[in-house]
Amino acid sequence: MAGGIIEFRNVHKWFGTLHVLDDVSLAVQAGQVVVVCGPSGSGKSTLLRCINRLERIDRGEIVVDGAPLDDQVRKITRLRAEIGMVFQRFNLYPHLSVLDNVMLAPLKVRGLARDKARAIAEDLLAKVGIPEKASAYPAQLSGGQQQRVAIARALAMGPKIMLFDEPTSALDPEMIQEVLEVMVGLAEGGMTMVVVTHEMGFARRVADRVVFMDAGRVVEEAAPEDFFTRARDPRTRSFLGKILSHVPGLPDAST
Amino acid sequence: MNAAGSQRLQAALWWLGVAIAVIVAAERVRRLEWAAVAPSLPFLLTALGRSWVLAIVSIACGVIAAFPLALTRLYGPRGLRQLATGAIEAVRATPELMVIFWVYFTWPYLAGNQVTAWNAALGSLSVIAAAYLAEVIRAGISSVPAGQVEASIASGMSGLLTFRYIVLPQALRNMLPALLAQLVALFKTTSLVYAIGVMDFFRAVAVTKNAVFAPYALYLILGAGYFVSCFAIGRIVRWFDPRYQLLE
Repeated sequence: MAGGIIEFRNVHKWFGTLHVLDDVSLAVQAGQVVVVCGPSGSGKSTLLRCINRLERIDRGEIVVDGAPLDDQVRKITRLRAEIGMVFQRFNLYPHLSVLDNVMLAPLKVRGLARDKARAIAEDLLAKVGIPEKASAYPAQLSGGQQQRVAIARALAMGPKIMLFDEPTSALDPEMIQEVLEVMVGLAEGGMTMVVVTHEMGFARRVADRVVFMDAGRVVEEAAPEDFFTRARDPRTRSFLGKILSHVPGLPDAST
Repeated sequence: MNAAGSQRLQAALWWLGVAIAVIVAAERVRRLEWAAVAPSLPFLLTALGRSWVLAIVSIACGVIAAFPLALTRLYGPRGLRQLATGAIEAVRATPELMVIFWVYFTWPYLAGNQVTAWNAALGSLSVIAAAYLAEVIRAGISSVPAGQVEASIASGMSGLLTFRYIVLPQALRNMLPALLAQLVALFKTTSLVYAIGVMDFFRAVAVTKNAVFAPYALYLILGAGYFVSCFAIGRIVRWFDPRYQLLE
């Protein structure tokens, strides 16, 4: 278990009196895809946001890429450049074109030359399937297209790790697939990914491990085939029963 | 008569009424005391220019002070933040005229030297502009969603880069309507320096009125002078309106 690219060691976090992360220990190896699921308020998004220090922890330790996270602003900023993040609400920059959205961090953080950054951005937009939208503004795109731009924007920094925070939850059903396809492509390309999602079809297809959280604790952690068929904890089984029976077209928990 | 015909008749009557009102008003205006006022026009226009100088200088000084004030109120350490908040709210919660009096009459006590009415006017208007514009700027910055900042810092952008390339452009765009309203209000506030004897447009009109008896013509000029000025400010601010649409 030791020596992962991301390691949580007995991590605790409170929001006021709410114990959002309760003694979480977890390791993600380089190249692994880990899906985190759980009911709303279970702490799964908080867990994700601790990895790039969008949230502080109160106790325990998180080691990312060999270095423990601490409060040194410069070190955290440098680390964040190596970790791509994709948000539920896309969070594209509305005042910048799609191309400029993707180029901004490579230009300003990496100090790349403009034509180099542009080449990378155009290449990535082609990879996520919307090269023709380079000069459009985010408001002119559909949700699915916006989320694919957001993925391209995160990839433009050449990250070692990609974090996805419910990337398809804000999308209309017909757009979920186009975003998931891009993510599957990434996973198959060997990217280290931590994905908070309820898309169990995605988990089954590409996850190395599925983590189930409830009330701030990691309740269950297993390979997908075991997770879906032989969940140990009753809370996991109850959760799977709820989400799998409500999403048509996905494999049933009992199969 | 059908409904469309009756509507057309109503519209015709309406426009006829408007036309009569305009003609009557124009005739009344034409018969005002313009000949008596005419010699004073250069004097009045110079004074209007002076009001513009007051507005431009105080707004420029105000903006320069407003940015640090707003940033301190938003991001500053505790003590400084409260100081900035206190200063902004003290100015905003008291009459502008009082601020002008304070600067004009208490400066000699505090600094030991006299201050001219003109400098006191510039100083007090700058203080007023700084306080109100600081709030416009703060509201603009606060209007940028937290997700924008998160996306930027998550990509490795520093706080400074994030402010410069993500927060500020969106804040400026969002603050334009409030900024326009505030600049118009500040232009009109310049008329208060009339009370400490500065010969601004308002005072110039009042002085002329005492010299030549032509109150209606002069009050029309007064209204027109401020209206045209404020309209021009609106036009100038709109030049900065970018073409793109913001979503969310």
